[in-house]
Amino acid sequence: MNKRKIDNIIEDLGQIEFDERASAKFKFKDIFSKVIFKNPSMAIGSIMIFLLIILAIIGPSIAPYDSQELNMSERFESPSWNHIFGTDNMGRDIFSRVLHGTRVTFKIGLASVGIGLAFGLLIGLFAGYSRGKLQNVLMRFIDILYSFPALLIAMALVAFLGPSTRNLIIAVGIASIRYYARVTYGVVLVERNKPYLDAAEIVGAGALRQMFRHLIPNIVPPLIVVATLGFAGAVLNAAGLSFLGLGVQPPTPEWGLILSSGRNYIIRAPWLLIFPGLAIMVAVLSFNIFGDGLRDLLDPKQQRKV
Amino acid sequence: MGKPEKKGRALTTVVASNPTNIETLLRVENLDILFGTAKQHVVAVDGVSFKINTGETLAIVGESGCGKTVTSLSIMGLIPCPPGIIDNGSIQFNGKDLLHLKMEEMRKVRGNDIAMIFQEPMTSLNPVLTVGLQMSEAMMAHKGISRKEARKRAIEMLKLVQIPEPEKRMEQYPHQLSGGMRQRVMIGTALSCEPKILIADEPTTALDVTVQAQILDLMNDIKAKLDTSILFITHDLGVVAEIADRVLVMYAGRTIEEALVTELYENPIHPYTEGLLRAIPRLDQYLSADNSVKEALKQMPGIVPSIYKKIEGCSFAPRCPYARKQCGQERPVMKEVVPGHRAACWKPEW
Amino acid sequence: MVGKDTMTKTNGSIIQVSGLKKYFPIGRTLLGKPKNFAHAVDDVSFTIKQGETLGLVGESGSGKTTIGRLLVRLEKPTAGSMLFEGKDISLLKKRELKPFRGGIQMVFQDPYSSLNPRMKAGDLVSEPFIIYRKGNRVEIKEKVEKLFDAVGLRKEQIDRYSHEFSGGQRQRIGIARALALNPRLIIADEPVSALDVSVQAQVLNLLAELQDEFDLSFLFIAHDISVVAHVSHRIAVMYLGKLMEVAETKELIRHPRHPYTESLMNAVPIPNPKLRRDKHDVPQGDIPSPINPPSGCRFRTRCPHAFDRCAKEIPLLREIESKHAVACHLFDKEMEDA
Repeated sequence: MNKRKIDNIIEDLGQIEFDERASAKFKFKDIFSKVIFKNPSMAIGSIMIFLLIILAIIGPSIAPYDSQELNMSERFESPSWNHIFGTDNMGRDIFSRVLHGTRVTFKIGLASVGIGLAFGLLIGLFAGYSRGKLQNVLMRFIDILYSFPALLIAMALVAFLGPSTRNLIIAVGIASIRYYARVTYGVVLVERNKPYLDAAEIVGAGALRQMFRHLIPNIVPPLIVVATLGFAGAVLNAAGLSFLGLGVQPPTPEWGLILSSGRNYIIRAPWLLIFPGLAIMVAVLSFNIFGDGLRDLLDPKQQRKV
Repeated sequence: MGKPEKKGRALTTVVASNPTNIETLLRVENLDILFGTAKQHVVAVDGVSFKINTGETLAIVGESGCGKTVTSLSIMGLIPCPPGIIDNGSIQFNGKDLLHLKMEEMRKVRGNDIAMIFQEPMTSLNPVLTVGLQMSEAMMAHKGISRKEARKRAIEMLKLVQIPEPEKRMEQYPHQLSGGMRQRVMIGTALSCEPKILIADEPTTALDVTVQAQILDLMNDIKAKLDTSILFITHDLGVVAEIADRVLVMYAGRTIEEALVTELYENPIHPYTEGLLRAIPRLDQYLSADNSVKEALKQMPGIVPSIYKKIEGCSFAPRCPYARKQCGQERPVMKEVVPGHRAACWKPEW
Repeated sequence: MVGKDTMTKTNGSIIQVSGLKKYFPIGRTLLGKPKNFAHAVDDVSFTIKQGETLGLVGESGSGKTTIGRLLVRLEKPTAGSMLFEGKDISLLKKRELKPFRGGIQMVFQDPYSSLNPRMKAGDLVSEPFIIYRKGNRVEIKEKVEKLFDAVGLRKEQIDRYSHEFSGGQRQRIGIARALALNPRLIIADEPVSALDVSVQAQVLNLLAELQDEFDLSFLFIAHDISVVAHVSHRIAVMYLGKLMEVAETKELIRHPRHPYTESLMNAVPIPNPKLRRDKHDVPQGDIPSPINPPSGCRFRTRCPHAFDRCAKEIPLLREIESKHAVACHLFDKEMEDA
């Protein structure tokens, strides 16, 4: 025993150096200077998302007007210093409505991504982990879902549940399950063959433990990327459904809905469509850019060699 | 990879060897290779010097991260730059300094004079082209010979590397060949332009023992036939003993010992070499001694030092059982301790 | 020093394997039936005694890794029995296996991918205790610290992630984890082949010391016969799913009887330039595929001594001398003559 202690101590000498090497790789203060700003799309995307989140939080309190206040004397005013985005057919301030809409949009996006990711993750995880019948049944089900456009599935669900903000979230979420399920499935299939799962099995870990304690932490990074890109998709789908009258109901200020209610006046008052449209574009674009940057960062295969 | 370029050089499979006339073919001096930027970098190769004579096999032996592969890549001019920086030193080949050649000239050297084979031949073979096509296309492009001629020579090369049924193999794809066959194809391709030096980077590490023995035999055989010098990079001291004439031991980017192979195994001077030789299990103890007692392996404490850390003094000092104060402060240089046997260690002077 | 004295202490065997087979289905037809089978392990029998190290040596495709995976029941055998401490574990279902898991543990080849990169060293080692509900948090922590100590890791390293360790240190974590449930048999599948030479010796010595300390039996699987010879009391030589020769280490190394063992011995590089051979006497060609193994003796396609009987009949593994078993027709003839 004594001899091993001595070995231990000498080995530590080498080990300490190794620890230094390992810690040299990760320094938190470097995250901004080295990681985010070396990756310009990450930087742009994160700044834009940051601004959007700020707007979603404080937007309603800085809005110059009430988003639902009618003012028939100021109908169809073009953009001016009083109403920088103009007013709509009811004289409501478009700028205030778009600002309020940021929060609504984030709420819908987050909640539906949450639903889609939670179920998709579970389906993909079980399908990828189990080999045999369950895998086939689950993935064929996902294949069937993939044979319809997502918007169609969401529309059918809303038609069935009735149009409301809550049902819109559920519908958009369910329509995106297939996407998360398939990505999770692919990632799990890769991780599934790594020896650390065998090692867990040998020390007695059951299937649930292997899946939730061992697999999930290892598949989270790619799923974060997918969820970010999925957020953009969810915002777009929600706006689309609201535009069709199947989502958020008036007078709630939702971008798709604002766009929709302005569509009759496209010639007379184009600002009714331009500004909510721009808002949707900016939100979708920033999440897509951020997601792409995140993927470059987390996927070592695509990383440029340092 | 070795691509033949020089025109009109006859391809002979048997060359009369001329062993008495020893001349230095390649001389590497004070080579420093950094990775990173001028401000912030790690030193991968630190003041390495050695030479290769005609017709000899020099083995560079060391553990992972000791700089042996980087050294061999620098001879081929294959260090990616950036991030690689060849900071200092020279690589003289036939009176040319390879480090100052233009890209075009270097490409010629790579094809005609120095060829290289790697550990995993699959990565240097194109999976969607047949073996014969890959071998003959290279020869056609660089030697300017006809398709028919190139094909004939490719078959000749496959025969040289003892591949059975070479005509049939020519039509096969790399994945249809076993690991040993692929390595033979790589050797054949590398030799098709009759290089003066063949650099082999762990060519047998991925192979099974019986196949490894075949490849080692083949390389010895070819060396005798073609009088090619071989630079053999490996971590395996058993393989070194089987193939090398001279050995260079590297540790943490530096050369620490150099000697003829028998001399090195019998009288290792550097404590690291000594430690390595004692740390490997050996079968010969069962074969030679009658009452061999199985001893615990002499283990070397600690691990290879971090390349992120600047080393004052001897890089092996923290793990060395003989280390004194001097070792931690002054860096030992390679010195001839016994005629023909050089080492970078303070111990012989005490 | 490998604990040879422990061998005589107990007479019983820790595991008895007989007629073990594992065929892997290759490809499937439209109806879902396998087109072909890879005969990874084909009728293998051996025993490991209490406190003994049996070395299993073979080249790629020999099925040695599959045997290890069968013994820890990561794979289900196609046929055969495996009596571990008298109980057949070959057909147990996952749930029934749980009580036996602790008895046979495994040390993996790749210390990088066999440790979950998102878990801390301490969590990895304490996981078996948590799964088997062995003690409360404080007790488990104590046990983990003891194990860290036993394998030469520092207590401060408990909270580090595995990527912060060197290869040798990772292998120590793997060993500590394997020791957690008081195993009697450890399957070491190429435990040092991914490590640097100077670190290999550390791990090999550690395993030998632990064997004495915890009275462990080992199945030591490796492709390198010099490593196997160093740690094993007995060696079994495997080729294409079958055992070719089993004998005590010294006997096998000095007097290899099977032509395959002989060629393995000829092929292994010896770190002594004075013993250099200009030409290795090794079989030419490559190892055949286990999907369509040669009929009769598996080695006959590369064997310099093969004769017509070798293609027709599968040679049985028989003792030709005391404690020296060979599966080769050359010796059948000898025995019949005698």
